[in-house]
Amino acid sequence: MLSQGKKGDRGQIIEFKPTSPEEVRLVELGFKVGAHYEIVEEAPLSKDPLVIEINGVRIAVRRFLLNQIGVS
Amino acid sequence: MTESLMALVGNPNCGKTALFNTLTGLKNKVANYPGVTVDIVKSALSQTYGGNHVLMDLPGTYSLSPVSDDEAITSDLLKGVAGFPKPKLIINVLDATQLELGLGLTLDLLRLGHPVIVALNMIDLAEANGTVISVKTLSKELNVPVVAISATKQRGLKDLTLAIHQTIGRSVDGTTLNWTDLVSKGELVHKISKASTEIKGIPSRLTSIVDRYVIHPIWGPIILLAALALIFQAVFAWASAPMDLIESLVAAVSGAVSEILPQGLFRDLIVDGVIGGVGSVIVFLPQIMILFAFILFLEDFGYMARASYLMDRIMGTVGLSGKAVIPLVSGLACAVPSILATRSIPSKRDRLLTMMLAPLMTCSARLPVYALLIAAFVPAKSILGFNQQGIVMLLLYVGGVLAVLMVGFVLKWTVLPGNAQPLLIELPRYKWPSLKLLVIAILDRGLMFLKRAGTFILAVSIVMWAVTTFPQKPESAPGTAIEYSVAGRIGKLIEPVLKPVGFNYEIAVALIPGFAAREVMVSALGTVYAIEGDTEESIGTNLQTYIEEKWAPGTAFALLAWYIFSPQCLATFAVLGRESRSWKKTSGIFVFYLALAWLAAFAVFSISTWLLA
Repeated sequence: MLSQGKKGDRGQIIEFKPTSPEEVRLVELGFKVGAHYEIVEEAPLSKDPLVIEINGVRIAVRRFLLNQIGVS
Repeated sequence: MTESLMALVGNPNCGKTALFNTLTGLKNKVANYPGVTVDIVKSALSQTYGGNHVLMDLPGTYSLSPVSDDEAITSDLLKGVAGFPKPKLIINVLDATQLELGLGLTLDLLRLGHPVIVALNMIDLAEANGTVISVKTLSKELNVPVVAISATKQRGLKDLTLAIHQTIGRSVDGTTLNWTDLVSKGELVHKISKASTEIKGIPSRLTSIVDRYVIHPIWGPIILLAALALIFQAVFAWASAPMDLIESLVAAVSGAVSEILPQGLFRDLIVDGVIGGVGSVIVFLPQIMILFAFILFLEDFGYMARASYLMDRIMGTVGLSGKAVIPLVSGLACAVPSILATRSIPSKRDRLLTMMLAPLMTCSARLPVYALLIAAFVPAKSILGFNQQGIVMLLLYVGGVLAVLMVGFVLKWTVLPGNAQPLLIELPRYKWPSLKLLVIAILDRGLMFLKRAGTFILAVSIVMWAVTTFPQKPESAPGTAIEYSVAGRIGKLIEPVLKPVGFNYEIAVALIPGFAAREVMVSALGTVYAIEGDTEESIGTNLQTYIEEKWAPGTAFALLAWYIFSPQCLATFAVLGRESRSWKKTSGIFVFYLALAWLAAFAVFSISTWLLA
């Protein structure tokens, strides 16, 4: 799951079936099956939200929203 | 040619507003859209770009499936929900450096059946990144005109103008592009983007290099604090020279007018009511413009989204989202733009909470009151190299932030339970804002403020002058003139309630117009004390020596505490009611802040009286 990722992780999204409007927004921002990602940074102290680079776009997102995203 | 309505639509950070400002120039822009509780920025094209047609700058979005209030405005308006007139043309701004991200919205727009043209913006940055985009291919794929432009470098604008005038009002057959769900839409977007893009060089590393520090877990917060300290310093230090200049100009004008006009009620109205009232407010113009210069620069540069990211969890402890940072920082200038800026917060609850807290941020209208009381009661001595007056000022600002956190915490556990919506925000690429467009945007804010000073505050000043002047004192009656006026009588009525917090009758009277606009309190105090100022000297200096003699220090400190919480001003609560769409909640928060103000003033007055006894 992408929500368990750490700083520096790279990989590919292999599964994501969005249900909530926020998850649909994630897809629109590039979190599509097959997309390559890199976890660029974790927030101070709580390590949440994450900064993820996907398709050259940087997104800050709370881990909670990444629970449905399976990665390889 | 008749005037037609055009809509400018695109992702956040695609340079939409830069294009809007380029095409329309410096004009009075904010318009209230009829029928809805929303301000949409709207302006006619400038003559250079053909004039006539009216352009609307719609809030940025990634698709027509909105997740926030301002995205909903864009989608409702384009879909013609709630009786919006159909725009005659949609100008879809795409960021050439991230084409794929923008195309999803383009597909949604094509389905609407309005004529569309695509403005492929930041083409210069894409080229510098080694990305070559074929305008021809893109235009063929989408079956709409595509023009490559750079809003900040003023490239391609002639071609864009041409395309606008050729396409506007045309009937369209609808798109042949077909997709059924999110997945097929994504594939289509990818296909179109790939077909029209050719990578020929190495992309710029600027963003990842700057981000190594700016979003770093240790350096990030340090840079954020330094940025806030710099803004704070600038608003106070850099603004003082132009403020002095404006002050002396106002004094000169009022002196000249007093010479010309014969003594009497009319002269009093012009000098005390109009010039005094408006003059005491336009003094803040430099501070407001400096503050907006920083906010607009940081926003354009791409920093504000990073600040939201860094602050997300801290804000979370009081139930706020990281996105509340930008509106709350704007609150340092004025609560009204701050409340309007909360529209970018997706969740209704988070947005409501943020706007309820916005009036607690130390807005620039509190400054004259703080400055007056500090100058009168805090000695200008320095402790450990720091000026005592400066320290007290800083404490008042910190007090405002603490009040936000404290009240936020209380509201989170009472009327607005739950947690903030999880953060989801794009961190845009860093880019240098165009100086010219930045200047236009700052001047715009300045003009808006002056307009307010010339209308609302002018009206308040005249009303204030009237209620402190009429009914007039009978010739032979004892006491001061103010005691006979409407304001004087109301002051008498509320005086007993304010006695326990150390406020005297004059403060009670001056607080009344203070609700209309905080800064008016200073000029109101001047009127109440009926200071017959030498016109050469500003009212401020006289007033300062006056209250220094007449007030106990406890009273002054209690008034400072009162001002941290007191529910002001009229304009703020009018906007709050409109934006929250709940007059019940708005009046609730008004009463709550009034009670907090009283309690805070009471506590400060009791403690300082006890300490100084």
